[in-house]
Amino acid sequence: MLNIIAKDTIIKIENVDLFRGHRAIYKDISVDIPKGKITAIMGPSGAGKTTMLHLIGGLISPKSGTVSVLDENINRLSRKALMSLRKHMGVLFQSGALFTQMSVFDNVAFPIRRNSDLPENIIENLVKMKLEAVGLRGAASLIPTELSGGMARRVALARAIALDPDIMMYDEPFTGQDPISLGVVLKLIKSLNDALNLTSIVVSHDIQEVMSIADFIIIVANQGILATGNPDEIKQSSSELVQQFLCGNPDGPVPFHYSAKPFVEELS
Amino acid sequence: MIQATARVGKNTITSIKHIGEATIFIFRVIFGAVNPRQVFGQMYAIGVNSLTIIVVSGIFIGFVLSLQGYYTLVKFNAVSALGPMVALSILRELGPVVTALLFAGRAGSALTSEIGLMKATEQLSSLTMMGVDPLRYIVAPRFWAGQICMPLLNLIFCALAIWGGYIVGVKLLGLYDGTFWGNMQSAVFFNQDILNGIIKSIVFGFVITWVAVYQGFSCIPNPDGIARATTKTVVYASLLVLALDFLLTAMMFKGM
Repeated sequence: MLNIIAKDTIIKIENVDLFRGHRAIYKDISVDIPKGKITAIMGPSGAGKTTMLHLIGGLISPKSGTVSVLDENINRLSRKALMSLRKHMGVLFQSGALFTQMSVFDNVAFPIRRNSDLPENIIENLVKMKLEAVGLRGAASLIPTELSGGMARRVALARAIALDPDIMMYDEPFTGQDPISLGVVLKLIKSLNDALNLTSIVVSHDIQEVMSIADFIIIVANQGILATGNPDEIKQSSSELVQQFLCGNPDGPVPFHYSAKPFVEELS
Repeated sequence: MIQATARVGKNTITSIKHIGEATIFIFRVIFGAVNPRQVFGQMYAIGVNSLTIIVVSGIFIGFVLSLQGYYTLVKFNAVSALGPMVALSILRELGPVVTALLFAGRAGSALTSEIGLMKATEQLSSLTMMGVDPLRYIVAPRFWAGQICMPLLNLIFCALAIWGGYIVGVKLLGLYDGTFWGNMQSAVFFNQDILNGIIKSIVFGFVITWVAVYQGFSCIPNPDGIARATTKTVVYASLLVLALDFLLTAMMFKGM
């Protein structure tokens, strides 16, 4: 078990055990996520990277241990208090999760309308500001089916920052993006984090891209936290699994062959 | 033998767990706040979009019922009973049951797949993370819209089926229209026949929309999971409608 004590911690995960059915996802993990930084969560497929975002958002509860966000134990909060705390978090989901029956404008306005009593002219200005920040003010009247994958991701990002959250979580933001869209999203994550004084958490497989913007990296694997540190520390990690993951080697601690009897025994 | 017993036990526990979850789910939907404007919006999607199948089915079932009834009754020299036969069959049984089965197939499956797709595309999680309860924002308006639309669709179905029976019996087969309507009027009672039919359709509407929204909300969020949930909605809702119809008929029309 690794225990990382970070200054100005905004999220604290302590001794968390998490199971899905009988399968353990995490066993006794502890990690602190620093405030105001970009933290990357990386690891092999199925290691539980997105699950960590769900834990932080209170979408799932651990079997034991505590998850504290903004000094609140998220699993002890009442339903109302949890809903209120979530207004301080923005999430960019892997699919974008735009509401397909609403226009781009209404998608971005949705969280503001639902969570405030602001007059419509103020909401309109706020929405235009958010869309301007992601470069899509001109696409306000389009509906999600008229957007490219990259544009949809940027609209979802504008919606996620609509309530000016303290914490922004990105679930695989670069998946399926062409190089231009990927560069745009990468730039937006970095610039929004700095301009809005956010704490950003990025779940991704795209090592080079994430390493270029991350201040702190957490690598999850084998039901635990394998390594943490800044990008340079991670690159110099002595763990074979970390090196296999960073270099993309097809064989290593994560084997190429799925467990099976020796091939000779199966030949007829 | 032990394995079979264990399997039965496991399935029983799973079923009880699902029933418990579905009960808590529907309590939260019923007793949570709901926006009436959203309910009206969903009434269009659920009710108005189901009208075509209800209207066409109602008319044709009325045609067929009248045709078959006429050929049977004429053998006993009792064609004057055609009006009551058509009306009572429609109002007491065929109206609520056929409307419910069509409603489960058209609106129930659409509700499940719509909510399931929202779950698969993370729209429900997205709402939750924006501090909006998807049960109140997505599920409750659809549930109440279904609950309101089902009795209205039943009344439309019944009216059109009786009109269809009139067209065949009177206009096509030559029965005197005074006999058709007069005998119907003297044999059909509001409380016993019309009201009981409406009560049946309210119960069926509750069961169908409950099954549909629960299956959508609890489905495995992938294409296979949504397909399974949609199928389950139609099968479970149809079986429940038929079983409940038997129980309600036994209670409502005892000795009538």
